[in-house]
Amino acid sequence: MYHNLAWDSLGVKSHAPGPYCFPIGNMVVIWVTHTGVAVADRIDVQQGTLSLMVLRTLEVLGPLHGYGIARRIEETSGDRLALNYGTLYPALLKLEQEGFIHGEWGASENNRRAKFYHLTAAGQKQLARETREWRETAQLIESFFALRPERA
Amino acid sequence: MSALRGVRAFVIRLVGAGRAALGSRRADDDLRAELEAHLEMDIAEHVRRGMSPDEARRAALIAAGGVTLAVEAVRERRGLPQIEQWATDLRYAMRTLRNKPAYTIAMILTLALGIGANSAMFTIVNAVVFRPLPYPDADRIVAISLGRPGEDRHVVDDRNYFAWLESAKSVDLAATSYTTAVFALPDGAVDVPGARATRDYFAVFGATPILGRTFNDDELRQPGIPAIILGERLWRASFNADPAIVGKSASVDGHAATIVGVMPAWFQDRGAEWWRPYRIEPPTGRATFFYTPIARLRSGYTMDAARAELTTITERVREDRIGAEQGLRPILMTLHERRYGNRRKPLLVLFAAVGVLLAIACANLANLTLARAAGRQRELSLRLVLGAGRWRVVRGLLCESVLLSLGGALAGLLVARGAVAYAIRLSPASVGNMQGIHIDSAVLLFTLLMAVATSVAFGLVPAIVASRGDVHAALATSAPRSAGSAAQLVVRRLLVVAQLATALVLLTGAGLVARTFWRVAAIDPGFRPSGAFLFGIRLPSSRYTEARPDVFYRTLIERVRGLPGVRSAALTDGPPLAYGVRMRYGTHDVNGDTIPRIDVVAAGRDYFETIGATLLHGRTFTDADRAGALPVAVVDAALARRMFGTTDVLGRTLPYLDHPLRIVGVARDVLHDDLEQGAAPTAYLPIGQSGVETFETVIVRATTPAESLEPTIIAIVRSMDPALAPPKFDTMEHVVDQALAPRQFTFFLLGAFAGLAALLAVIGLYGMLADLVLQRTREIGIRVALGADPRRVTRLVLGQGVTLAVMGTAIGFGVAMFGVRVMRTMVFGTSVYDPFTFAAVAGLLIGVSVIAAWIPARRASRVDPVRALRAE
Repeated sequence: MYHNLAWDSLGVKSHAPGPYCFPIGNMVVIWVTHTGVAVADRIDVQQGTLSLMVLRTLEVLGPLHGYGIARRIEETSGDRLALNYGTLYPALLKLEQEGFIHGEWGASENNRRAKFYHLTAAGQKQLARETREWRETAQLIESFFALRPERA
Repeated sequence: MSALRGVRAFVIRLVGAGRAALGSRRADDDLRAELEAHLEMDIAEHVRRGMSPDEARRAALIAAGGVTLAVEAVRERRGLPQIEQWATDLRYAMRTLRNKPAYTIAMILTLALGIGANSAMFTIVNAVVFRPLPYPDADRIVAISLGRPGEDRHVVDDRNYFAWLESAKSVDLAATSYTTAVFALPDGAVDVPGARATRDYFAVFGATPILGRTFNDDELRQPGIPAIILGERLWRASFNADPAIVGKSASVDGHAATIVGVMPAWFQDRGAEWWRPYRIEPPTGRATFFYTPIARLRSGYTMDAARAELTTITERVREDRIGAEQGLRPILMTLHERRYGNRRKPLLVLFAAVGVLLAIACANLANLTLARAAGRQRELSLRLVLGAGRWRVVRGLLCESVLLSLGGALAGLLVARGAVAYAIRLSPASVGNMQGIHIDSAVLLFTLLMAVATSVAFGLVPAIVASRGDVHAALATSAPRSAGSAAQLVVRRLLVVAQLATALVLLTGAGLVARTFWRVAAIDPGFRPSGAFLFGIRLPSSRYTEARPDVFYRTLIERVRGLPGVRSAALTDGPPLAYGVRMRYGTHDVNGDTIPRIDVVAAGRDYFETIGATLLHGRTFTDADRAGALPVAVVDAALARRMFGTTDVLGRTLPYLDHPLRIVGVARDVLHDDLEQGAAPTAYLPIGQSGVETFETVIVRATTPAESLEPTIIAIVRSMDPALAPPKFDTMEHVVDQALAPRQFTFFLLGAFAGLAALLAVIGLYGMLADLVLQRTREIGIRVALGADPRRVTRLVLGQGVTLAVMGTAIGFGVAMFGVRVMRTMVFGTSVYDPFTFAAVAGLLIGVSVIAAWIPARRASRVDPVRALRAE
């Protein structure tokens, strides 16, 4: 009797951490998982900082494919960061939707087909703005760290 | 990030959502290729560092962190998950509905009827009742008349009018009277409706001419038609929209009238297409003139202030001629109230009725939806078990209701278009100016609201009830169709009872209206309309002075009488029940008591034979009753009794204005003005003595139909005076129908609504019982197998139906007893608590309910136990 159920109509939330289920034969199997942002024993990447990293990487290195971006970010972080696909590609898509980067298919160094992302003019400006804001914030926070207890 | 970037991203995501909804896979394929490339590059890198291909592959996959999840995450980012969920629900709802075409079509048709009827009624009510008159600050325009409690004279005499005109500070006062005139146009003479206008008439309406000016004092003093103002339509149609028209001359009723202005297209007053100066004579104390004043409240004055001021002035005007004139007070109401006030009640009752009809339809739909939800309990339970939120399940079901309602609303608009067109054709002129009524944005908005309201009304309760069901019980049972929870059954029974109750209320209303209609239709008007027709001819007052109208009409009547098929023809100033000017006066009876109102009908030779009225005593008029001869009159029985207490009054004297009349005949009462008010005391005067005016009506009784005589009569008129506009014909039967039309309009519509409501309610009852029998087939089978008498099974089901029907009828009875009070002003010749009507509609509803219950009851008694038990 399950075959006449339209699967997408079950009302199961398929976009957020929660139960996932798939029909197997006549049985219903339910298990739970969630989309992790980063590997647990390393540092979590915040959405905002990741886009800054991507923009900066593209500015320095010019057009790069997803793999190249991931590698370069991991290397730059001294392998303290690990980017899985589920973290990187939504971030790339978001930047592309906002018009800061643009992706085009091309051939990689090994003549492999890959999608290369390059910074757009809007992306340049955005990077400059974010860099400035980030520095200001960092300085601000730094000056608080510089505070020493005063002895009366 | 600037807000613009956010908008850009949102739009892109919206497009992405749309693509996904359309099933586009390109973006997914692209992504997969991209991830594939990523993985390959990662593996190649690991191999380069010295891993075996297998190890490299595993390491790369671990770093990837789940390709499927990444695809899912990107997909989410690509579109708008919230919207997509709705889209999914809608798509699923659409598929569900497509799979059940019979159910869907039944639902949409019911909704289309319900919503369509409502939209149509709203279109009419909105146009006639709610929409303000098309004048600036229309709520400050007031209509004024004189009257006393229970009597509105609709007019004001010249003494009061002049007193107000001189001293009232609260209003700008104007008067008008509607008329027609013959325009001599290049393509022939045409009779065009128009109006007279006093100095402030246009100012009261807040209208200024688009060309030229309004009348000046000089024009308002001169006799004849010195000046004329054209309406935009007439200017456009007959004067080629000549921009230099002002100052030119037009031939109106034979007068050379100077065109002094053109009014804008928006300014319309009762179909008048032109205006002439209204010459107001100061009161002389002899003959009395009457005006129908309109006024605009001056700024700073309220209606109450104006009423108080006019009342004070009226009290100063001494009315000592006739006692009947004393005690009259000014009646003020907005022009809208004056024109549409009496139409509001029936229309609002109809609007309420059609709303109730929709409620009953919704109850039916809710019942159907509940029945279906009971059948789908397993599916819904499964979704709940699988983790779907209750709200998500409710939403899914609501999506179906919304889709059905929107479909119903769309189809309903078609129904409304047809219904409005039909109503306009059916509606008598008196329902209001319905021409130009159409479905506008207000109606569309109303229809949309209706759709949303109905979808919630019939969808929400079943959805919530269904989502509350016992999940485990529903999944555990083996029956493909459960009987539904106890709550569902209770809700369904309540719905059926409520439906029957409301249907009874509507039926009662319709019954009262029907009884009223039949009462009014059965009224004997005192004359025989069949076989008689009439036509009016307007003679230009410029050429037809002194005795010329008399000569013209006399000759015309003679020639019409000579036509083959014509039995008689007569002249009158006011045929029964037709539009016309009726003269009235007040006097005293033989005991000195006041008779406030006597109607005067001027009638020529053969008048009574022609309209088919009966003479009780004496004689009718002859050609010898002319000016100079002894002044005579025929009175009707009502006047004879009122004045002398008997109908044997031949030879007695009837007081009339300043000279007495000898009574030469007594006629049976004729309903001249109104079918329902009874006969007013009427005096018939020979038209030769009262004076033949330039606008009289000819009534013809013929054995041949009117249409066959019309061309001949038109030819006769042409031959007598080619400058005359051809007369317009009307049969007396049509005139009587017109008097009945408002009643008929209400009766047809309310009857149709109530009939539909009753039908829907009974279908609801039938559906519920049929469903019950279907669900309990197994149980019934067991009972029969164990030896139950089939007749007892029949009685079981029938009993259920009858119980519900009686409950519904009883509740409806109570509500109706309370509710019919609003119809008090709508009935005639019957009480709103008419026991016959109440008994008839209650009997009808119960009777039909029993038939509706009998069908499933019979089916239940025929259940074959073997098949019923084997079926599952």
